[in-house]
Amino acid sequence: MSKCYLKILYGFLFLSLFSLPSKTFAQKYTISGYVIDEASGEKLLGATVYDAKTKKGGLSNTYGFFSLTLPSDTVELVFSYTGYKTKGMKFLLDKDTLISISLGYLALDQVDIVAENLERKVDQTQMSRVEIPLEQIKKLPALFGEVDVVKALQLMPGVQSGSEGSSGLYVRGGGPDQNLILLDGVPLYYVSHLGGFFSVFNADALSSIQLYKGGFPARYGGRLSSILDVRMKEGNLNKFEGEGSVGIISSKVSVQGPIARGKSSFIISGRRTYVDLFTRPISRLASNGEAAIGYYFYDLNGKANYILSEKDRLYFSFYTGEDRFSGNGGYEFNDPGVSYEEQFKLALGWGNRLGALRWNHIWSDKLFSNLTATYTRYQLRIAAGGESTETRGDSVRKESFDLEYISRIQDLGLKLDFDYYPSPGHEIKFGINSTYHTFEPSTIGVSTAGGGQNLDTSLVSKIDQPIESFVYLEDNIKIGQRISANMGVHAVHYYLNQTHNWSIQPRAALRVGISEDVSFKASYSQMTQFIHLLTNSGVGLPIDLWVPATEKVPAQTSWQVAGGVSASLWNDQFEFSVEGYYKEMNGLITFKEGNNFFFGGAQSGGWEETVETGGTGTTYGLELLLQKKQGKTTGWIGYTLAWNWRQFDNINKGERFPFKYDRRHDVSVVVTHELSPKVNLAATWVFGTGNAITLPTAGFAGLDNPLDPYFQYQGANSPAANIYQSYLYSIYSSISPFQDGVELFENGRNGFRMQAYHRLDLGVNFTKKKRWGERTWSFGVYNAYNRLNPFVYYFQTVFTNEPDGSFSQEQKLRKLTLFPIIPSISYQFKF
Amino acid sequence: MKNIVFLLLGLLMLVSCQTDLDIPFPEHQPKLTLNGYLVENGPLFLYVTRSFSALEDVGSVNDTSILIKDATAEVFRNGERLGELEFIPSGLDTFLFQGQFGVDTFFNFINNNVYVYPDTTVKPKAGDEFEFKVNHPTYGTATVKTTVVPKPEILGVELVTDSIVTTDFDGYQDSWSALKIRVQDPGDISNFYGLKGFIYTVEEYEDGLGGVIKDSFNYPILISTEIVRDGGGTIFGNSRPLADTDFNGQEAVLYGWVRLPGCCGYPTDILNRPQTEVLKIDAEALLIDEDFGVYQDKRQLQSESRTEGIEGAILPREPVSVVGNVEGGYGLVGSFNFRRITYDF
Repeated sequence: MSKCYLKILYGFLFLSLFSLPSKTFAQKYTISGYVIDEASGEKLLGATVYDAKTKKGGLSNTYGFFSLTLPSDTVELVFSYTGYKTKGMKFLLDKDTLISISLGYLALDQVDIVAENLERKVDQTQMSRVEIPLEQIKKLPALFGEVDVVKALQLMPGVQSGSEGSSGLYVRGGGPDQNLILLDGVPLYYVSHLGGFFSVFNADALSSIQLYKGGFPARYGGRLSSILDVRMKEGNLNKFEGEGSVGIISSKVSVQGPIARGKSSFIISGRRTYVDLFTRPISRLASNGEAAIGYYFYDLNGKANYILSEKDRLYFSFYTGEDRFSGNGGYEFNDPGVSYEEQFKLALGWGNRLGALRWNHIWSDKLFSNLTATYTRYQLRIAAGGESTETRGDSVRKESFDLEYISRIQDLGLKLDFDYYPSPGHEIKFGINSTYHTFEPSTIGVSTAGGGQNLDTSLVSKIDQPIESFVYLEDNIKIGQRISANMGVHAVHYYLNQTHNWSIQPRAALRVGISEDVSFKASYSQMTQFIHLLTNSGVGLPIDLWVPATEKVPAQTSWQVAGGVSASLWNDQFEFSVEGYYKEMNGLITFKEGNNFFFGGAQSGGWEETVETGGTGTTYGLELLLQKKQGKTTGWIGYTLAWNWRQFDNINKGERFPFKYDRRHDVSVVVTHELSPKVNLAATWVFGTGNAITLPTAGFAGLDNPLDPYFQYQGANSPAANIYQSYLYSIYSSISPFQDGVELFENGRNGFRMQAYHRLDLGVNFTKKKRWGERTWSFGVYNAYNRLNPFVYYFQTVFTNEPDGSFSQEQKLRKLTLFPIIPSISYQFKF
Repeated sequence: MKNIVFLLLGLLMLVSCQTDLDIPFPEHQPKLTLNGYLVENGPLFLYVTRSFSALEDVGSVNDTSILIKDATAEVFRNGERLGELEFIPSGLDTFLFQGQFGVDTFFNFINNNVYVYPDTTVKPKAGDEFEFKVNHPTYGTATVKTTVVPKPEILGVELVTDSIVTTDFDGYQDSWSALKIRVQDPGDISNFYGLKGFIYTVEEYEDGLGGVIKDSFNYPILISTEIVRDGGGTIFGNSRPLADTDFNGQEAVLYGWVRLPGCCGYPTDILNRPQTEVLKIDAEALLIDEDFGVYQDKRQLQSESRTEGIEGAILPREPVSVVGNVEGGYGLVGSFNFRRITYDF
């Protein structure tokens, strides 16, 4: 099937290239340029550019660039963008024209025209894409009042959260490692703070967020299940402005403005939590001053851009963010003749650092390029140390130790992307990308001094440095008014340890308009992922370890088909879509039985021996979305019906089992209502089938292991070693399944369901104009009806005192709920 | 590092709460559980219990609520019925075996509450297939078969002192001596290898009155089949059986790792006396049948990977399934054989 498909694909691309228009046959000219925000000068990506006369149009690309080739005639151009006033212009097109259009800013001999909204989902070839305006995300109630773009995405069908409060993404049955998360086009490896409860994205610094669940365009690759493309703001070219907020656990501030008005601008945005301000004094008090612990995280985003010329723009963006945990303490005692003093310190830090230098160039009115150099790094660093001094009379004995543990992944990349617009409704994207990865699972440095030995050593695990390169070709074409297609191919070369690996991944998406307001869509994608994540906590801990595909642990692959219907209802007031999908994944890995990060050597570099390889995954489902985007009341209702299976030869007797986050039903309801210009309300309600977990349902006794070297200890050394002594302990210590008995998993792997998860969040925002700008008070309630949702289940032996003085014991299955009802308040300002 | 992660999670749990779950729990139908093992020239015995629900209180170490005393247990050798096993609640003096180091040390627990074949002249021999069939009016019938494996063929023994020096996260160093045992792997069966042994020493220590006592000792020592690092960074020897997968009937070397007295890292559970002279190591090389090896390996792994309560739930290790060879029930009856080796210093 695959080979046949490739032939069709290549044939299509071949025909497309030879169908490029030529001025020989028709006198045509091209209008190209940027669509920008009039107030800030920011580029508007995905803005509609449309000629009302010929009914031809297109969208601006990721950098706000558009190109439209039309016959020489009077053109009636319409520019529209969600949330902006639609504007138009009318002029005689008698030459190639380069313009930058600011929405809302009228120029030339323009006339207002009512635009046909080409942004409707029903008109887009792309399916399985989620896009939520950031302004809407900011209005939604959130845990501790912390606006979180990733959690907002979890409210869309096909996108699930892992466990309570987690900002991990599980898209169409994929794992959290199967999401390519791009910040300004640069991959981010660890997107959570505080063990997964907050994402690293500061909404104030972002301009757009798009999530692809399927039908992946050929320009994307490297992960199996989703692409999250997050773009940062560029900074206001015209005036200085700022915004910020003060919340329960964090504060943030963003400032942007021109460096040279109309020529260059910057934005810088920072966020920091202040949990440590409370934990340090509390821990000092609790330990009588002997210890203090602190924790905080911060994010710092920045971006600058410079307009070199009408055709050249330069951008530099960076992000750095880190979670920091620290603790220190001491202990001392003084006895006559002896005194002892000990000090220890501990510091943990984990976070990302990335940067991108980008050059946009317009080669011609039809050809746009983007050259980007990228750097990204995720690092976990642990530093611990201590020293002790023991004094006995004149004798002083000092000992010290220092330990440093570092685990990191680092990428250096270079990519060149082209957008070519041969004719209206026809866009070709192609490009090349190469990334030099460095995987350093762990480096441990140890030094000790005193106590009769000195040691200074470093243990470095195996460092892998693969080079991953790809080329892509993507052809987005409209065939008549009703049909459009996006065909492409993504080809990867992966080189590690003198081994070459190739992967050719065809992609296709087709849209057929059934009527003006209803269209049918279908897509097919193949994906390959040359990277794995070692994790089984499900919580999103910083210890989750990225490792490369190797000869022993090959790449993951997948293919996905999706089909659905998209409709625009009631004069575009509502959008409705239903999509079905089927995805198969191969080459999956999971920890072997009994292993996790701490146990099994993953941290010492022997990770390849700790994992089961060759796993498969099968996932399929149906997603429904009814969305209202206009009016005072907006929001959506999403529903997902899904199945999600995994199979490994050495797990669950080789039989397939449900994935941990197999969720049969997933519902989300999101409503925002503008009560007045000053007050808006928001509510979200979510429901999800309980997670699949593995629980021992029974147990049986086992004899102590006679092969254990210590087994013989009692018998052989007892006075009567040569007769068979009574050692009841040997037998009875094995009875309880919670001691040394044997646990039985009668329901198999993940055969037990936790209770269903549901939760209602409410929020209200009060906004008021001030002389200096605008302020908003936000009040929210997370988990408004205090549902005790399960986070984990565990067994516990409960002892009860009986009236006769004895006690009885009982095995109980208990649940841990992380977040009961939690109110929040935050103050936001803009100036 | 693990503690630190727990500490972080502990911060989050400040707002959390724990409640009992009142949910339908899968009902468990108890089945017979048979445990036992055959060693050449050892006894024919079975330990018979029943399985139980995870929520059933099976009590403390002295509880016998799961012990099955009224079952009928038959034993067959090479398809021929030998007779019935007797339940021995206590006093097993009549079942004495030759008090040799080796056989007896594998059976030091056999006294109470086991089913034993009363004719002690019937002893397992390498190659014999034994079948046990146990019937109980409430818990049904369970059967199990096992074949007694041969003794390992040992071709030579060598000790390489201070073969490896390891350093754990705390900077603590251990010196490991390699006990190299050359074996001829039997090609016709899939089996595991194990090692256990004693060390014999003469040690000097203070008698508390200003004098010095010189005395002989013998300790069971850990002869590790592999050296591993745990989550806290500590390096230790693991006695998990070694599969013969890579031997394939060829001559091969079993590596055992030993920490000897007088050197850094000598086992801390034994007094580390500076004036210690090592006389010899008595070791037993074990040849273990595949079912038994896998079963014990998985049991050990399951036991190690189990973390009680919330800690274990938040940072779980992948669940370990332990599969026995009992039809109609649970547990395992396997076999192993051994050969004694002495290494003199």
